[in-house]
This record gives sequence, C-alpha cells and structure tokens, in this order.
Amino acid sequence: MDGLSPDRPWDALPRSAETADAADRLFARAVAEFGPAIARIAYANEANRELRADLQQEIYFELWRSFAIFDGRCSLGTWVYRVAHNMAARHVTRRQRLSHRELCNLEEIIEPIDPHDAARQLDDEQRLGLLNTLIGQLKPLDRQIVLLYLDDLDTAQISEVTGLSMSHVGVKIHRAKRLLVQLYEGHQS
Amino acid sequence: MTEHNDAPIKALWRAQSTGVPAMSVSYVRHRTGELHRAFRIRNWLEQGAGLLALAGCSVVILLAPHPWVKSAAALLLIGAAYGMWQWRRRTAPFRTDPSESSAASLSFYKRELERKRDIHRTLWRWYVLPMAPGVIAMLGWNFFGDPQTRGTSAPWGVLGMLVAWLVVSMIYERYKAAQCQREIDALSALGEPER
Repeated sequence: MDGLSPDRPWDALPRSAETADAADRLFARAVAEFGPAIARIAYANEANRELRADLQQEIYFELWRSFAIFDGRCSLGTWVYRVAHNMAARHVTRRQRLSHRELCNLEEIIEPIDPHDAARQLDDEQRLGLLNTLIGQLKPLDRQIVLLYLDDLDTAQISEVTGLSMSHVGVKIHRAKRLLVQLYEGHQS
Repeated sequence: MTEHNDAPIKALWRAQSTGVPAMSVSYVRHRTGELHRAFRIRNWLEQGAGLLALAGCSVVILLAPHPWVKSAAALLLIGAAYGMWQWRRRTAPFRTDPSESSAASLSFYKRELERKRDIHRTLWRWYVLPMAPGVIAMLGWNFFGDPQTRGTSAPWGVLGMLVAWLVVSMIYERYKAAQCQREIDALSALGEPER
C-alpha cells in the first residue's frame, strides 16, 4: 500500500486533525508507513551524514506541525511526500547557494555510465552509488520526480505531489526510466 | 529497443539502508516545544526591550522639567512605537502550506526570500529613520541646551556611539540582504518549473 490514493477505503482519514491527539496519531501513522521513504528522501538530498540527520529531523518537525492543519482533502501519502520534498528542495537550494554547484534537469544530465560499458558487472552498492550521484546532479523538481518514481508512484500520483501536469511528468519519467534501466542493465538497443 | 525493466533498480533503491532512525511522536513533540520556547523568548526580549524604551520615554515626558527634553522624548516615543509596529507587521512569520504542491511551494519560498531581503534592505527607512527626529532633538538638548553637558565631550561620545551603532547595523543588514539575494539567485538558477 502506498497510501496515496484517497479513494481507497483503507486509507480513510479523519476530516480534520484539530486535536493534538489526532495530529499525534496521524504523525505516528505517517512515520510507520512513510518513515523509510522519508529517510530515502533525506539520503538522496544530502550526502553529509550529520546534515542528512538534520534534514530528516527538519522534515519530521515540519510534518508534525503540518498535521495541525491537515484536513484530509488529499491522502496521507500525498501530504507526507509534499512536506518531505518541499523541505528537501529548500535544503538543496540553501546548500547550492553555498556550494555554487550547477544542477541540471533530466534532459541535460550526463549519462551515468558509458553505454558500451558492461553495467551488469557493477554490484548493487556501485549501482546505488551511481544512482545517488545521478540524483544529486538534478534540480529539485526533477529530483523529486525521480525519487517518487523510484518509490513506485505512478504518473498521476507524482503529478499530484509535484503540481506539474501529467504530460510533463510523463516526459520526465520516460527519460528517468531510460537512465535507470541503463544503470541496472547497461545499454540495450 | 527492448522493454524497459526498471523494477530491479527500484527494488534496490527501496531496500537500501539509510542509516538514520525514524523519530517518535514524543521526541518530535519535545524538540518542537524547545524550538518554540527559544522563539518565544527571543520575541519577548525584542518586545520587552521596545516596551522598556517606551516606558523610559514616558517617564521622561512626565518628569523632565524642560519642554525641550519632553518634546524630544515624545518624538522618540512616537518613533520607537512606529518602528515596533512596523517590525511586527513586516516580520510576521509566514506560514508555509504543506498541502501546496512542490512547484507552488518553491515559488512561494522564493517570494518569501524576496520579502525577507526587502526587510533587510529597507530597515533603516521604517525602523531607524522614524527615531531620528527624537534622537536629534535629544542630542541637540545635550549639545546646546543642558548646562551640565553643553561644551563638554559627553554629547560627542554619545554621538560617536550612535554613529558606530548605525554603521555596524547598516553593514549587517546589507550582509543579510545579500545573503537572501544569493539564495534567490540560486533558486532562480534552478528555473521556474513548467506546468
């Protein structure tokens, strides 16, 4: 269960989280269901271990505060992903100001491995390293799309979280897919 | 081209160890409580200092024997009250709406940075300038009116401290405005998302 589709009966939520108890319950549920996803978002957006822990902490604080105004109009999953990605995007922007590192979009990114290289010979750790390097080069919104896609969200769900049109997300996913397959299997044409 | 199969890399991604444990409700509640306390204390200190200045001016207005001093204190009081009101109005903490989509949130964040930059750039106009008439009148009294300080170096010392404070404040505010501008530039370099 990804928790993103609000029409699913098992994902029914209270219409309002006015009481602290309701907010606490929502927070506990969000952590239980999306804790690993939040950790991955922090991991993909900050390489430094201490800063990553800070970022994850900031996301949790913002999430807990946000449940005071959660009204159930979107699913818990959409809400959690939006809060987490918004915090991560701000973190990336602040870090980019300090590092002066150029970020690019999916269309501009340099392919992570030589197409003629034997990608099958890479082990999982190396693949993850390359994947993290690739994600780390992306601008925040493209980064979000790739991360949401890796978390197995479909185009409609990614569109709902990011606010981008489905066609725009579709184009980005097409490019992301190509890079991901290449990363895992090597170039096949 | 063969059918893309990105399931293995997705599975690999989701199975990776991130090494940072999740947090409990009680811990988050405790830490946010601490942050709120620090924020409230800072606000109380700022507001408290302003109220003390207002109270001091009021006492001078009531007790000072010379109309020059009373007028200078009244001008200071008006300037300080105006500055405090502007400070509250302009620096009211903005609330992010987590329900906004990521694209909207980034645009909103950029606008908020611009607002913060403008506060730093214009602080002198709405916070420092309104107090200038009162300060000038009070210094004028010390330079030319008060028989105890007239012709001594004391008013010059006060003037020197005021100028030094003004210069340091202006440099600090310019630095903070430039810091905001750099973040705005970084955000702009990331490009406005297509919808």
